[in-house]
Amino acid sequence: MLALRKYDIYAYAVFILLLLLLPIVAPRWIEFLVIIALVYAIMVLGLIPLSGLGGLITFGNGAFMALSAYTIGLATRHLGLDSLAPILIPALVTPVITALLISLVVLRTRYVFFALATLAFTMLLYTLLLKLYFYTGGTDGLRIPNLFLLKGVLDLKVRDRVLGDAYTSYYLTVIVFALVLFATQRLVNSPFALSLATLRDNERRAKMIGINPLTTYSLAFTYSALTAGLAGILYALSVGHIDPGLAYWTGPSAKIVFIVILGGFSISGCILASFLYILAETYALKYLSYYWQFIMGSILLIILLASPKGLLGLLEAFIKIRNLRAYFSLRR
Amino acid sequence: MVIEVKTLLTIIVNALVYTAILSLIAVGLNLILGVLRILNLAHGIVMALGAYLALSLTTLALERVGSIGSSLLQGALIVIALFLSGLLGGLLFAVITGYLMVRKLIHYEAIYVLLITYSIALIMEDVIKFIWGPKGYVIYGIYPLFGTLEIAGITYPGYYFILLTTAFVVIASTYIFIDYTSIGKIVKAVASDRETAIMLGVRADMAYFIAFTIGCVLTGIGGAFTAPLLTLQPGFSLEFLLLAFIVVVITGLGEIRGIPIVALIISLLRAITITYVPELEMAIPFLLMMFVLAFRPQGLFGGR
Repeated sequence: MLALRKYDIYAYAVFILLLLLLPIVAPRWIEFLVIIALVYAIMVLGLIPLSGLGGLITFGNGAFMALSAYTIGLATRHLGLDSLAPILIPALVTPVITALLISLVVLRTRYVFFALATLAFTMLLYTLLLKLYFYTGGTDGLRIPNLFLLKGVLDLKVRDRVLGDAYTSYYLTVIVFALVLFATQRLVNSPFALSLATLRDNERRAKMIGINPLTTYSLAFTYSALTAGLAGILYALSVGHIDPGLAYWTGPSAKIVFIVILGGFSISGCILASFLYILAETYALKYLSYYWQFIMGSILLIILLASPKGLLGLLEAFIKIRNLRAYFSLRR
Repeated sequence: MVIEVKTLLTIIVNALVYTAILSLIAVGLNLILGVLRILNLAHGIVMALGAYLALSLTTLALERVGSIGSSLLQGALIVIALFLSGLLGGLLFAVITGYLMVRKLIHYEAIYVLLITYSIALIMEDVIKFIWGPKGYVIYGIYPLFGTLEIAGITYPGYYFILLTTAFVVIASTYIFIDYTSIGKIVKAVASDRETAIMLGVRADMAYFIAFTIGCVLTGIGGAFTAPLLTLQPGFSLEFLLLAFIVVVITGLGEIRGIPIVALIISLLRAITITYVPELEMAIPFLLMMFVLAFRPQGLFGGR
């Protein structure tokens, strides 16, 4: 895999170019699926430093997604703003500040208890969003109007059909995805990644050689919150409606943990996994609307039991059929 | 603000009922967590299985018991039916997933276990939906059998006291089983130090199976006895599961001793907030959990 790393950057560039050209050839419904898949991919990429390198799994990133989405929703509903640019900064600062503050509490725990602490945080936000219905609209959620990018300067609305008959927000999503992809790629190959990996392997030794667990983990946690915030903004703009379900623990929070594990914590694996997950979910919902949980659960269970390395691991194993038996017995 | 005696009493009775349910579920959850080191996200399903079986069994029993004259006998039969359905639900889940949990999941990393049990929960929830249908059920005909009880001018259903007694007896007998029988001591040994226990010749697999089964049965009974209190619909157990998680985290990993006390604290806080600030009903337990995690990550009763 290491030899491939040199060419990764070209592969990603081609992938993003394809995404930009996609609306010209593909039918409209694909565009929406791609937006949702990219929103998840953005969140999942943000999880890679914390979960893949640092070994901490969070069940609470839906909270940051909801924070950003609701910042936009509240600003448009109660302040009457109608362009995106001025809301963008508060919508990104809110999850970052919250993550920095929350990390002081949740990072006192590790492993399963860290997952539970972040779960508690997202559920706390969920109940607040649900119960403060005067501001947040309760279970009905909030409608996100068709915002201008920047009124007066760029009179383009986010859900206007532009080039190639796609939403403006489609191109926004692809651009943000490219930025997050680039940032994550740089982060994963940085000294910061090494200190995260050291912390995961042995926290006591890491401390002894001068790595501060709190600041390191806190930065990784904030990065994941920032990407979740970006995803929340893009979701709100493209879908046009938000509800407290974003912060519910079986919502995006649990889904991205699944995707990051299916992706085997690698960048390309995670992107592949988020596209496949969204496709599988959509089709399971379409053809088996009552029992889609059963189908999703079975697929996930089989993949998790068969290959702890994720989809790419599974793929790798099937490519080298000879190693298949060794692969499965290595698990223990 | 003057607090009325009636309000206070209602708060206390409601809190006690909630404590009984929460303790049953949380003791089961924490027993599995302590011995197998598996955090079972499918635990809500055990509760749902117990509750739905109780629905079927009591409906069956209520049709039959009509001919029996004495209402005492009728009540006793219903209690037995509830107990049996809880037992059956717990055993059913233990049989279906026991092999996977004990033989496989024990060797996995905690986070994989979390996700695997979560996918089991997804699957089993749809199986329950497939058997009993997606609509909501209410079990009628149980409350009248046990009459009412009047305290300080407020009437409470007599069933509350059946629930409290059952929870007390079941949890007390679990503690006695763990403390005073040789099998219980083996379970305790494996929980406190797995490697040493195995080295001393204890069959750890047996301890795992026993702890897992007891944990499931406790939760199944909790579900069965909760069933008459609420509307049964898919996903109803999620709220209880989340609160049971909070109780477990506040008490401490694998520490079943302090659970009733913590459950009582949570239930009291919940009842008080429901009475005075209903908006914050669920927020308070989560806040308390974050508070405990911040200042005593090992839990209030956790020694390590």
